[in-house]
Amino acid sequence: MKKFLNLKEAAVIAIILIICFLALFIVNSGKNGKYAVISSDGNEILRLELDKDRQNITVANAENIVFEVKDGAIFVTETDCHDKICLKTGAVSKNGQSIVCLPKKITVKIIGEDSEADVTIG
Amino acid sequence: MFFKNISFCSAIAAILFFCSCTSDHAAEHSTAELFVMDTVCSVNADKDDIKTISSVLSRIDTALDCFSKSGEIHALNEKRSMNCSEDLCDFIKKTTSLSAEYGNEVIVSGGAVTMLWKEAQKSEILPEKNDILHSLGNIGDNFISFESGNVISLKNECMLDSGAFAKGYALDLCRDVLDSSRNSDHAVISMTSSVLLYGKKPDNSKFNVEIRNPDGNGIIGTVKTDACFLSTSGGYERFFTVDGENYPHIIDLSTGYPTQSDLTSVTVFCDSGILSDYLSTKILIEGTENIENHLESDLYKVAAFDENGNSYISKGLDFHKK
Repeated sequence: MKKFLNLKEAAVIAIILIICFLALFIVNSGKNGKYAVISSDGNEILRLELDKDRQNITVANAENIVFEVKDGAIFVTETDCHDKICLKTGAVSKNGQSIVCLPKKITVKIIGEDSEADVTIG
Repeated sequence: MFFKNISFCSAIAAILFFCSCTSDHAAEHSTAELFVMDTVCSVNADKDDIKTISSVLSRIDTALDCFSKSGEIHALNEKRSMNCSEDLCDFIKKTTSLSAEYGNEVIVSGGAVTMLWKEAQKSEILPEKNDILHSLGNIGDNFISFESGNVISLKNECMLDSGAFAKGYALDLCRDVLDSSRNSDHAVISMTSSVLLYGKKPDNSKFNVEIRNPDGNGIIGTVKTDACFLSTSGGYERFFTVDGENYPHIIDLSTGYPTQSDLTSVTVFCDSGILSDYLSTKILIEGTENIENHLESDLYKVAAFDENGNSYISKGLDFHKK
């Protein structure tokens, strides 16, 4: 009876499978984990991984808002806005949650793979 | 056999590769952030619809703006009588009609009182009791007079404040855009506290809505729903602080002071944006005392929460507490 695969065939198939999984890894590597996307007037200007703690983060056009990433969440630590809504929002960490500074047209949105929500309200 | 196996593996590789790419290729939808109506509006819809919606929202923003010098309501409050746009006339007629039908706990003509508190928010000085009493005598839709053409006059010291209706009204116009163009099979337009869920999702599943916890601590629960309008009223982060005390931004026009409601968050689901916006504020102000009547309504559904952690959910609403 003929063998299903000889050594040469098995090696080629193994190589193809390795290439296949490498491709999957490369394509999906940017989607894994959770990020805070900071936008200015609707344009993304900074993307931060939430699993790396960072302090004193500022962005162009809104230097007086200071962000911090800690324990998988992002929050505002300082702002010179009068109403301080971005500061009062507190830490956000869940997919779809956001921080908004209207006067400076800055938004922070959490994106990641752990939520099936179409929208968050409130 | 060898080439058959090669073909088989290549097919698997191709399938896996394309599966990994699918999530970012949903039809011709796009998402845009628009800064309008004192909020950030996130629009997920067909690209052409986004352009039209952006233009409509910008127009409505100007018509209903109470604070900027370019705002039409601001101008009407200043001039007391003027020829108004079709948008503003339509808006005022709809708000007064709603308040006449469902109750005057929320009215567009409450600006004399609400503006006092907005000023207090800026100056961090509470309004005088006498000023509040005086202003309470100048609120009521009977102070709005429709003259010939599109001329609207405000009697006495009445002022308009569009806050409790504006986002819902704007979302009604967004639905009109989507209905006319037929470009978007589905769309989600979020103005943070008011949302339009439009059409049917590609997989025919229901829309999944997360309701934020008003204390800022994550999500209070989720609701699965068909297309509808929904609005949330609550304290959230829009309170203001004077002398160390926090005051909600929602004003109870029966007292002239920030609401003392025992409800902390109210979300209303229905088929009208302006109605959901109006009702969420009205139900919040009324508190738990009248909540049972609202839970029985056939016209709208409610998900409300009080300061003791109790939930009040309309029958038939697919709500899941977190």
